[in-house]
Amino acid sequence: MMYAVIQAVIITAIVSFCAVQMLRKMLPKLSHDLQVKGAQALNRAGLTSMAQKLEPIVAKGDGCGSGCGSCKGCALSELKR
Amino acid sequence: MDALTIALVGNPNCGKTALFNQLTGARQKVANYAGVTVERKEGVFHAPSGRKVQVLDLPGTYSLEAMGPDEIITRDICLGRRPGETMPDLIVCVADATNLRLHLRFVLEVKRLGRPMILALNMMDAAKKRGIWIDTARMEAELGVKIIETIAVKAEGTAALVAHLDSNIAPHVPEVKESGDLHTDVRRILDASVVMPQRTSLIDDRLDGILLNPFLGIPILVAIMFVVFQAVFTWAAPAQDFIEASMTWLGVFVTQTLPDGLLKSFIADALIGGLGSVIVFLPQIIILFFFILILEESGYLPRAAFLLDHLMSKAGLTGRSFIPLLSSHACAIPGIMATRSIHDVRDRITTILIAPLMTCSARIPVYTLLIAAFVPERSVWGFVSLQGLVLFGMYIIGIAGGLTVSLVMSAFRHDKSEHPLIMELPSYRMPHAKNLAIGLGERAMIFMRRITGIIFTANTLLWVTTTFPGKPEGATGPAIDYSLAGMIGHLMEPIFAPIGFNWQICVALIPGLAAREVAVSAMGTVYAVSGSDDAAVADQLGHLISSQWSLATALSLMAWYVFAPQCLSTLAVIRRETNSWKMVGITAGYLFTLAYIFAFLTYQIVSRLS
Repeated sequence: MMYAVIQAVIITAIVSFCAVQMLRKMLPKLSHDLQVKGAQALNRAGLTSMAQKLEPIVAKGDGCGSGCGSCKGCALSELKR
Repeated sequence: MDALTIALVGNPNCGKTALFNQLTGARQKVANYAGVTVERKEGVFHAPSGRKVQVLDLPGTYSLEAMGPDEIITRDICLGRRPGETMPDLIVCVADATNLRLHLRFVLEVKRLGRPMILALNMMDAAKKRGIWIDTARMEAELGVKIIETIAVKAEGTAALVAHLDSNIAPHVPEVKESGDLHTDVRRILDASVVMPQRTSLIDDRLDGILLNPFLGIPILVAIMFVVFQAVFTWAAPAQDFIEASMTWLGVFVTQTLPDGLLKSFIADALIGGLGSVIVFLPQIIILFFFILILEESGYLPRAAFLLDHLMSKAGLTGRSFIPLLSSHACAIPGIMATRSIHDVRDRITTILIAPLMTCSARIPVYTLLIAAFVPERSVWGFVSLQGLVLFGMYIIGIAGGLTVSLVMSAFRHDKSEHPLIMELPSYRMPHAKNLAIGLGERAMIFMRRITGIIFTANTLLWVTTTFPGKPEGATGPAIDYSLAGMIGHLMEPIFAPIGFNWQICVALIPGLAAREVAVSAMGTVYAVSGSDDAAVADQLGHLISSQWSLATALSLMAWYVFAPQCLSTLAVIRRETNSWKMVGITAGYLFTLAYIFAFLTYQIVSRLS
């Protein structure tokens, strides 16, 4: 019984994490909007520190800063000449 | 002291990005061919005195008579015309000391802007090694610009530049003389201050005489690529055997140790069965990039661009398309981003549209899985691996497909004007073992990050859909038939039946949209959950499919993967680069259509023949 609960908790945590990661990758705009709305709701509830953590990080530009992260090719510290 | 804003400008491939990285500590892509820096980069560092220095790394350009978007950005920032961009206090013009004939021309153009500038004479160590003797003081006098020697790839190589930026010396505005031909001025300066060695240019000339020979050049290029793909199959075998044996041991250990339940199913089916079937391709990817890095380091790749320029122009492409298309063989995303260096909008769109057809490294696990499973492991003509030959053929099919699409597109174009390729050919050099090791380490890390990132994520979610809902009471079929994935697979099967895909392949194609190689791990998971022995799946997914699929199905799937845009990230980048959903629709539409047509033809023809 105890083992069943533990494995259910572990599996739920892993699957939830993967679902969030997939949402961020495949639907970045929706993910961003949800994060903003969640942060606003937390702010209204007075949970400012949690809200700050939830707020999406603003992408700094193109390449790896865009959040693409698919190949990491732009982040290569390539061969030194 | 006041903060200082500097802009790094120069020809492509002069070491600007390396200098930027050295100054700011940032890490960016630096490679031995032109056109890598396609966007503006910004960083900050503090000089020893505490002075804050803001550094802009601007795109490489051959001229300030700008034609392309990157060159326009560089020119406008230098002149302070770029809205929202602070005019730099000092322009640091970076020049490759080993290629001054080309680079000094740009230095003279920058000088004519009449802005405060200095010249960073970069790669001085390489110049000395090649026996190029530069009288810096004389050049400074001839040029009328302060010169600082740098070696951007070494930490101490930028000390003099940092010291100069940290000093109180007011930025020097060079005296501008409008008259005179730039080439004549360059020759005059070089004659007065540089002595070139005979030997380096002799070696380059002799090698180019063979490698760029109009008759020998292309056959040599084909032979080199042929050897590479032979090695991918033959050299990787021992390491792959080791990884497969480790996965088998792990699978047996987990199935024997853990009690039945969800956790055991997840570890055995999703992790070992799924991820384990992808990780075995690491040695092949390492070997492929080992050769690519050697070709890149040695200076051969720009020559390959030169060799293929004529062929590409015949197919309606510009020579500038070569680097983006070459990059697309690693991954289409940086390749599509690199099209920014193409001036002509139609040339750029054509290159973007065909970039997904180049055989990216994500296709390697799919191709090698199918080739190893269906192509006999034997030699032809006594020494050529048949499997390597087929893999080589897949690359050729991808390139031929891209060129054909480009040819068709060019037939519908009204503007038939050609844009000549301007590209510097760097001197040949021996690849450094350390650089190769760093490059290979990074490629291995990229692959492992994909396994632990997108492949793990997609595979975990797939495992959920193959596991839930569970088998109803009294049901007699395999549990996966009642799962969500099973139901979706069976729904899709009639659409893909004409091209020979079974429902397991249909299921694998869906998570495979996240990244191509996910399809391999997905098939591993689907077959593992289907009731196949978990350890056997991790070990021998190839053997499993070779016993359950026909040759026609395998070849049809390979044909599908040549064309199908099984990568949503690529489509997202096309959307971002073209700012058009229509272009995404056209790309996805024509690629899926081609994929279906060629998979259909392949399946039907092979089925009838066999």
